[in-house]
Amino acid sequence: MLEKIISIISEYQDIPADTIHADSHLVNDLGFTSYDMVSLVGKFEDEFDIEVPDRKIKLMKTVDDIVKFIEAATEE
Amino acid sequence: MVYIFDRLDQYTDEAYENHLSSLPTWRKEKALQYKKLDDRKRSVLAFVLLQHALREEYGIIEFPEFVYNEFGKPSVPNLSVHFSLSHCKDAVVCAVSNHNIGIDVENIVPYDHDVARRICSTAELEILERGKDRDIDFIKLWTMKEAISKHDGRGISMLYDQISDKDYVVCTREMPQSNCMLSICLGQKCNENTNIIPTILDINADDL
Repeated sequence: MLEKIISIISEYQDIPADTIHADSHLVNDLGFTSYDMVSLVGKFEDEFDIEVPDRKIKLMKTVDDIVKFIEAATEE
Repeated sequence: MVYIFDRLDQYTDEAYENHLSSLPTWRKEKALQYKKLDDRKRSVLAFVLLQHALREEYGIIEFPEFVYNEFGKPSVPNLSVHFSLSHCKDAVVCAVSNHNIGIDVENIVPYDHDVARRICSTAELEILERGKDRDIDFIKLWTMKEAISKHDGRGISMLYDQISDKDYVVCTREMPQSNCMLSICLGQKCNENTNIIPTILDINADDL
C-alpha cells in the first residue's frame, strides 16, 4: 500500500518516489497546497474506490496518515 | 499593501542561493525541508517578499521566528503588523497590513467537480456548472474562500465548512501573465477596516 500511495504522490507532485517516505510531511516536505490535498484525495477515491470524508482530509499530515486511512477504508 | 512575484522563471539559482544564505537559520531550515528546488525557491521568495514589505513600509529590518496557531496561521510575536503569505506553481504573494488580512494565489487549472463539491454549497455548484468559464469561476471562488479562511486563521479546516464569501470583503485579481488568480480578504463586511483596498505591487527579482 505504501508503495502505491508514494507512486501516486510522486506522479502528482513530480517528485522522485525514492525521496518520499512514510513520515514525509505533505505540506512541509512535499510542497502540497490546500488545493493539492483536496485534488489528490479525489485520485485516491477513484483509485481505491473509497469515500474520504472532509474531516479525514484535515487529519492527513503525512504519507503514513494516508496509508493508514486507506488501509482501514479498504478493509471495511 | 500586496506584493506579487510572478516571474518565477526569471528567479535564477544564483539569486535563490543569495537569498537563502541571507535567511535566518529557522527559515532556511524550513525552505530546505522541501524536496523540490522549485518549492524551496517559493518558500524563500515568500519570506524575502515579507522582509521587503516590512522594511519598505514599516522600517522593520529584523523580526523573530514565526509562531503558528493550531491551524498553521503564522504570526510574529510582538509585531503589530499583520501579514499573509501564499504561493502556487507560478506566483508568490505577500500581504501586509495594520489589520488582519488573508491572501491566496492559485494557478488557474481545469475545473474539477470532485474538488468543487468539497468546498461549494449546492447553490454555488449550480452556478458554476451553468457558467461559461468554470475554470476561472471556480479558482476565483476557491481563492476567495481560502483567503477568508486564512484571514480567520482556520486554514484548510474552514474550507470544508462551505464558507460564504458574501459575509466578507474580498478583492480578486486575475493574473494573466502567470495564469493565476489572487484573492485578498480584508475582513467581515461589518468591519470598518475593510474599506481600504490594498495597493498591489508587482515585484521583480531586481527589487529584492
